[in-house]
Amino acid sequence: MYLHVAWRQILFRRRQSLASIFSVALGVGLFIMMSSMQQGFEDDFTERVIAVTPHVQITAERLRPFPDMGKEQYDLTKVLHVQAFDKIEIINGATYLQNQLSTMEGVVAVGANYTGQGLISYGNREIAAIIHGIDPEKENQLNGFYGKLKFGGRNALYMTSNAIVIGSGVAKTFKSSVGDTLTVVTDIGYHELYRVVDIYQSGITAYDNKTVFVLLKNSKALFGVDGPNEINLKLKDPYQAEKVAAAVADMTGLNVKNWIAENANIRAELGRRKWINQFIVGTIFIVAAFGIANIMTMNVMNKRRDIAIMQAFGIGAGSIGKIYLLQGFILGLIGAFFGVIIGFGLNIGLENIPVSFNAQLTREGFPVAWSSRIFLEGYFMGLVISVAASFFPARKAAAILPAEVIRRG
Amino acid sequence: MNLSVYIGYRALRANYKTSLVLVASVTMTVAVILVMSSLLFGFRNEFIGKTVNSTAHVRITSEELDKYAQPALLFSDSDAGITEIQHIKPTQQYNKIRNSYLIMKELEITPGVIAISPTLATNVLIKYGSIIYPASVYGMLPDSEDKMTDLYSKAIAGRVQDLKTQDKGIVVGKIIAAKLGLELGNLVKLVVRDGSSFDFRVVAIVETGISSQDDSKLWVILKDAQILANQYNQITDIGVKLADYESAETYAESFAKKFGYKTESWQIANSNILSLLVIIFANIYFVLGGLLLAAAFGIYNVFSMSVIYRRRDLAIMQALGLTNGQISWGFFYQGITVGIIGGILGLLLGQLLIEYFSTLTFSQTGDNLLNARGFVMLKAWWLYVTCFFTGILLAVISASLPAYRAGTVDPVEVIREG
Repeated sequence: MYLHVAWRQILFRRRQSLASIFSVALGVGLFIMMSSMQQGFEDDFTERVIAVTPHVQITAERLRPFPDMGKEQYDLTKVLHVQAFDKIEIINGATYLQNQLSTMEGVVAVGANYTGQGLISYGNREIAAIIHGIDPEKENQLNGFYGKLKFGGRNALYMTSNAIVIGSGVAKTFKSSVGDTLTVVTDIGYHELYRVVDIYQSGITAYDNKTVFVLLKNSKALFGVDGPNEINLKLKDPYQAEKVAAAVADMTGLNVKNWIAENANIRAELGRRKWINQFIVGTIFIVAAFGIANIMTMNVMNKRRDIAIMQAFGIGAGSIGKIYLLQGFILGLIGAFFGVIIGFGLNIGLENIPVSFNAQLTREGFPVAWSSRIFLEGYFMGLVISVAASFFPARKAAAILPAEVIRRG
Repeated sequence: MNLSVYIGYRALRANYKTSLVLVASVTMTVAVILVMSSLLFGFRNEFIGKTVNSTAHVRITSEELDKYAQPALLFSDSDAGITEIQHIKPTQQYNKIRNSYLIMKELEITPGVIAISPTLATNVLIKYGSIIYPASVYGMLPDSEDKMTDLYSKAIAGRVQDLKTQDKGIVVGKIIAAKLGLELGNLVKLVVRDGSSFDFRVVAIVETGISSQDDSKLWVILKDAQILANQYNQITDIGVKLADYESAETYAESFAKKFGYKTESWQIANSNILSLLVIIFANIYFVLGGLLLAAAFGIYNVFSMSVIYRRRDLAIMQALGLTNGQISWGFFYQGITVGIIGGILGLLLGQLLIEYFSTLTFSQTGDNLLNARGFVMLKAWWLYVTCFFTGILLAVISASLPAYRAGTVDPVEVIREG
């Protein structure tokens, strides 16, 4: 019976009910769109970062560049003419370490690189690039190296003696392609020609603009070292990186980085954007709730006599309240349903908007995460908001005294 | 008091709780639009301001416009069978601006040009101890560069002017300095493209506020850069500062035509980021549009309900001799009043939120565009005015259809039906 009365009231003021339904739908739809996009950006970012960054990395870099011994140990006030410690760091016993690490729980792949800086020039153009000396097979296990090569030459780096794979941004700057010969210079004054054998594209603009790959043995000549300065780990679950990094640091006593900490600033930025979006969408929900509450209050005020009559027939105050709560519930149910449809449509629209994000990522269209959790969340938000909005009108309706209404007419 | 205004006022007061909720909807809508606009425009203006303040408005590069026309293509029509030329090797001769002295003289007398700065840019590796970092060196004349980008005032340690007196002095961007652990007076090594290296002494550390610059730029005097690049008495870029930075594109085009070198306006140089900003703006304003729509529906609903429930009152008013127009205006004034009060309260609430947002600081300077430590909020009068009128328009437009309908109630019919 409650349902019947509530439904009759909704149908009675059709246009107002439609408008209420529409505002709930709008809120739910926009909530779904914004959340999906936000999640999409986050997933996209994480995926790409994980694709180029080792989950855990042991580096030969010193923990702090130059510990100021004078200040710390001898209580001196000022140390003049600090001479920088100029020694190329490598990881000693890398092979042994790799064997040890590969048996660790949760570690899928281990590889050792030498990463250094070099100047690469082609004709009159030059780029300061990051040179990774890699073992292609291991690099592939670590982050799908072969899959990111444009021409897919698996053994390309082994084909000629001085082979180099360049990032797509580097290739664009040089206007060069496979077969061209570049000059590579490093800080030790090493100066050698390298032939381009393939082009690498990770999709992260900043990375592709200044990354090149050579074989680990070439990097030994380039930098005058006889060992790697990085050991990279791939984990089964990337989100365990912090824990594993701590364990590895404990075990080896070396400087260990993990991708979560290294990208904390970008994750913080993503978090801020999420917060701002929730702020706007939250306001939409509140305004929609105001609209519903207003309508129902006016309904109650104008139906004082009907309510009094119902009470006179013996329907209790609690039941009257329930009728109005039920109205809110029905409006929410329908509104949220349409909201889900709107959200669905908006998501599809977003995916197909032809925009490019080349400033950060090489991609077309907004990334959208299709997650049932977001849709469910949106649906329940819509429902909860409309029920909450009908709470005050319902209380007001229940508080009507039939005797008074009838006496005053 | 005008009769319509009086009617509107009485109607609002009679249902004061409903009126309050209406005002609250407008208030929240206005406040959120204000805060978001302040945030977005604040960020955009900060970025553009810092960019035009720390880079040249127009840069004349050393790339000759018709350099890459290949003779083989020039002297054969397409029927000859040459469709594509592969592996064009660029010349080993380094790019330079020829006849730069006369170009600069010409620029100096061009109206609208405030300052010019000849520079020579080259890529190097900067090395301190065992840490090496890629960077680009800008060789410049300190005084000209200061006129163009206000470089002297951007030093956070040391003095940029000391470049003129220090033998082989160098100025370092803030992020590079942090990464290498550099302090004033440290001796750094620069490795250049032929593999040779040079020692430079840090005389100042500079912060422009633009991440990409603080992360990659080194400044030395022009002569030193010419030695580093092995290009004596040559320059590769001329930076131009304009009186009106908005018109940089037109100037860039005219310079390109006049001098035959590729030119780049600051808009083009930052086009990636500017287009990203457009996307972010479109996105947020789309959602704010949704907010406006939801609020408009709420307000429309209330007014149209009250028209329906007060049909009898309206019919009586008409019977008493009020015109349709007077009744409609009564409702209209309600909308305007709600809009004005909501607008004012919205500005106040928005201002409070803006103040609050301005005090927030980030523990991580995560932005890859600006290395700011907090939100940069814009507080411009036009923003407040626009948001205020948005609030009024919102209420007035939502009230206008019910107001019109209130005027069209037929008294005879209402009285007959009861």
